[in-house]
Amino acid sequence: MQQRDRLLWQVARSTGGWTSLFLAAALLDAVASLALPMALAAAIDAALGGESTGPALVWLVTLLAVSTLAQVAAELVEATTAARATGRLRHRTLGHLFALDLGGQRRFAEGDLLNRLLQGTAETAKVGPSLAGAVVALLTSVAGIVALLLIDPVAGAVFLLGAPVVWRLARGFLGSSTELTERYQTAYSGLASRFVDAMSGVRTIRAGGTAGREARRVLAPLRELRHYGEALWNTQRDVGWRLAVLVAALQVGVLATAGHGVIAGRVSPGELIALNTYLGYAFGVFRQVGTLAHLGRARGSAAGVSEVLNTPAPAGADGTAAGPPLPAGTGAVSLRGVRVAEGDRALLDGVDLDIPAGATVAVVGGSGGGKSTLAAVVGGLWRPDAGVVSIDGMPLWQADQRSVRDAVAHAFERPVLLGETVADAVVYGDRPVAPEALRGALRDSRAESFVERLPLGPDTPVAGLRLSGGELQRLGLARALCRDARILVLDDTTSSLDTVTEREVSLAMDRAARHRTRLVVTHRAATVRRADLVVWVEANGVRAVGSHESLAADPGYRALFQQPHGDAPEDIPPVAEPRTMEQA
Amino acid sequence: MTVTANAKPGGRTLLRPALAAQRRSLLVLAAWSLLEAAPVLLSGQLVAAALDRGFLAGELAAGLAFLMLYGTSMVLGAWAARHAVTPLAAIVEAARDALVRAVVQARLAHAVQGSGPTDASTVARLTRQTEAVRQILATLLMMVRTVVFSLGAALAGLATLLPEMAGVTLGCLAAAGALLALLSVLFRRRYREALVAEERLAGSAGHAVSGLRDVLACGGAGTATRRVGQDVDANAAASIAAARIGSCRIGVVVIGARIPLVATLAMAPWLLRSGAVTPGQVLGAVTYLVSGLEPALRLFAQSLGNMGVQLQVLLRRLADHTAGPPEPPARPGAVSPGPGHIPSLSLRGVTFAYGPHSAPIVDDLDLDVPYGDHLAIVGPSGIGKSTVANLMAGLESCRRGEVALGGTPLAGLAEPWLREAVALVPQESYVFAGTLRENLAYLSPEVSDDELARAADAVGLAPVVKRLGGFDAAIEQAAALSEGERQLITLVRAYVSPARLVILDEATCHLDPAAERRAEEAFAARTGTLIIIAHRISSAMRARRILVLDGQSVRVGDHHALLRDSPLYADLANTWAAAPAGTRA
Repeated sequence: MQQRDRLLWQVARSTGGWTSLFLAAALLDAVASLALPMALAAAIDAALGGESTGPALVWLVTLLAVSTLAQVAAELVEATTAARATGRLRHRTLGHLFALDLGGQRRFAEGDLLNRLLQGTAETAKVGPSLAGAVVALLTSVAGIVALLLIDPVAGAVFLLGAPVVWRLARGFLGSSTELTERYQTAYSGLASRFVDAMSGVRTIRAGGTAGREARRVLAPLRELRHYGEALWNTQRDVGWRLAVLVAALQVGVLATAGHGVIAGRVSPGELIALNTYLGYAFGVFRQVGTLAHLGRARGSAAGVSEVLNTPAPAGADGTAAGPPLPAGTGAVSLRGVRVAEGDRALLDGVDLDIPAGATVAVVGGSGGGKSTLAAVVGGLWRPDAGVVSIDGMPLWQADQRSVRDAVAHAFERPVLLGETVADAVVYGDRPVAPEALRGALRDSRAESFVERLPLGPDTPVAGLRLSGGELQRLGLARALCRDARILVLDDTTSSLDTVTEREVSLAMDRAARHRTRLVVTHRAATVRRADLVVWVEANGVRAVGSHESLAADPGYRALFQQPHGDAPEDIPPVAEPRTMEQA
Repeated sequence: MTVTANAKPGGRTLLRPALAAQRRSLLVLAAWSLLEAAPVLLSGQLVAAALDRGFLAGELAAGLAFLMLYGTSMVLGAWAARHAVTPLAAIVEAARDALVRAVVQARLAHAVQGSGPTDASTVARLTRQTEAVRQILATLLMMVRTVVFSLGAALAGLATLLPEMAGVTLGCLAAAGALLALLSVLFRRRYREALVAEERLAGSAGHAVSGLRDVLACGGAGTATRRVGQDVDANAAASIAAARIGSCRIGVVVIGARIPLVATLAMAPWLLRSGAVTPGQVLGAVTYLVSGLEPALRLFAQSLGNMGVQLQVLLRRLADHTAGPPEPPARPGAVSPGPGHIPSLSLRGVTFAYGPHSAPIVDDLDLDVPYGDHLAIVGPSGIGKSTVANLMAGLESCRRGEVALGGTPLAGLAEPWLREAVALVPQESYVFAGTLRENLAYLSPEVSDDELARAADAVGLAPVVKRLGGFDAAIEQAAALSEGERQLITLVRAYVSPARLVILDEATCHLDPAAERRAEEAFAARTGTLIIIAHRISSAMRARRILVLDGQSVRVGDHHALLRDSPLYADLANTWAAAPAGTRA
């Protein structure tokens, strides 16, 4: 069984009781509804025949009551089942997501992942009632056709003759509208990406007074949108018209045949009315075209969700892995034969490295060489595909993951702030942080001054806050510093700070994190000079380890600090004169 | 519609102008829909006639003739339905156009005035919501006309066939309407709560997903699971609560259509015996009740309520986003100085803070920048250098004090003149999808290729122009260019602009020092005033004068004077200069 079908089966089974209840209610409703036209026919025939309608009416009212109650029950059970199953599946998916390591997280794009977590789970969870509903609908329309054949075989045959034509037309519409819908959506995303473009240049637009022109530029795809929108309507109109004519012909044909039956004595007047109603049920068979597409969608969603759930999570779904906590220590890290791959591409290969306890280690190298991957591996954010990473002598992937989180703190180039307020965002995590530690961390990361200038200080909500790159980085640093971790992994955390602030932060950190092991990914020569040890990462491996002075003999190493961070145009000749400043 | 009638003004005003402009289409739609209801109106009558005068009378030909008539009326209805699509499409597409236009214009205006979120997720949500409105509006319009006209036609047909029952049915329908109104009030509340819960979940889940790495790094899996999990549970509970009310709505169908049916059948023997009605009439009446009234009522009760509420909630959400930012205060007597006007810039006692309680970022700043000056502004990050640039360009207004250009306060200058006279190039370069020329001529649409080529050469963009293949080269995605290339494009854009005051706010930070020098020298040689927020000390050393900001005091001078007088400047210069010492080892 494929993974997606296994997930669908699991969901269907976990809601089994409720789904059976739904099936029972839906079936009861279907049976009562199918019996109704016959009861109606009996009542009509009794009335027309001058007999008492009493018994037929009692029968009719009973059926109406049963069908009404069954409908209410089915609707309630369906909604409840879907909501509960969706909730359960979302909890499961969330738990798994938060247990993924960086390698697992990076398999999915952000928007896509959110879609799987929200829409995907909801569609998947509906599978039980959906399937049951589809079966009941199919049975009802088949029963309608059978009833037609039973009441008047000739009229039923007329219906069966015309049905395939209608079915083909309905299917054809589904195909052509899918293509137009895709084009329509492409035009829409064109407009949205122009919109996003413009949002990234608001300061330029504002300074240039060009907002009006920008609106026109963003809205340009509106014409195309309208074109495809109208084309969709036209298709729908033409198919709808042909379908309606066919259905009318079919209905008149069936009724005429049955009318002839009334004269011939085959059919009673009441049965003629019943026939008309059954015809309505029989037409329901064409709606199954949509149901099939719907079930296909549910299967697609299940595939998306199960892909997430089947991404291996090293930490275990509850964020812990069975294992003893890390031993007490001073933060010595060792890597042996570490390999990290993404698909077929190795991000790190054959890495052996020893980071002495309490040392400040700079990681340098060109972009894409594997610096950030190394930082993530050292801190236990990324489980290597091969090799061992140990902290104070214990392989960290065999330890309780909570103790690893306590031992290592990370800061990033572009941190994402979690939590409601700025203060929340700094102390975010399962372990509480003392208020003094928060204040100290804000001070040491030089975030204190701008946080105080925020409208509500540290209690300012994060949502809607516009922070510069440097401010964000300082909050990210504070988040790493407020925890008493023995190892600090700082991945390019000061790239947006000017040199003076960067130096202030470094000095404060030298004081605050004196005894901690520090792994600093950086592009700045000044930072490198202050490190005890430099790890030069190049081409997905460690190229050299040593002091800044010893490595500087290599021209390739010196070149690392002679290009500005990021890629400058290649056509610009290198500077020949003595250089008088540091490049950020 | 009881459901949509109570929409808050915000939501209604959003759609009303678009619908008002489509009044003709609405009338055409109504006319075709009226015709479309013909088969419903005729169905009972024709069934009655086909039976009474045809099949029950043993007249096959007459029965078939009436049935053919019925078939014809169905085809006629379908034909009308076909024609109804065109005005319907016109209304819906026009409404979508109007909504998208309103959203884009308002959000751009907000973003430009800095009064709203500008992230990509907002954009994505807004486009999704406008599309949802389009679909719901289409379905709603289609259903409304079906319900209104079928209900009316069935009732009218019943009245002509069996007036006694029409009265009973009307009473039942009134009771059903009252029940629906009551349920709608409850349902609307629950449904809105469910939508709010869903949005909250989308928000918290979206945030957690975008910060998965950070959740992991902070050891916050438990916290994140708990916070998002709460929203998951709230969302499920709200959906169930809404469904509970929703499932009661079938009562409307029972009261409105099924009670009249039972009543008709109970009365039928008596009516038939009295000779007041024929068997065909009874069957016709049943046809009206079963095939006309019940489906229309079911549609009304089950879907219309949902959609009306959904549309209303969506429109209200969108209305929050399409309300334009407060109009900038009118500038009576705003002047546009003539072309020969020489703008010297002066700041007097300028004070600025973001919030009423936050510490001022700029406090009592005095500064004169004569026309043609070359000024550099230096200071630690976060000290408010960009704010000063915004104040000088008139993008922020100061809390106290005054910024004047050529002696006229910025507030007294005509906005278009000011935007043309001052060019501000921010650090984050704005390059959009389009040709290279469109990007370069952004601030001076009339500029010639010769001028562009000269500017590209002066600023250092020429090799990039060559690599891309000339000014007509299409830039499909800004991300395909390096940061440095993008900055060069925005620099040339400002260089060819008519501006006589150019402010570069760290606009060269992604260039290497040589490229930066070339670009800055080009700007220094250009006619007009140049103000540079320095990213490196070399920018300051090239300037004629330097302004040092340190949060408390402000000093102005040249490099040597400041090295002597400003400890902060000396520190900045030393750190900047000392840094590469090791790299020369």
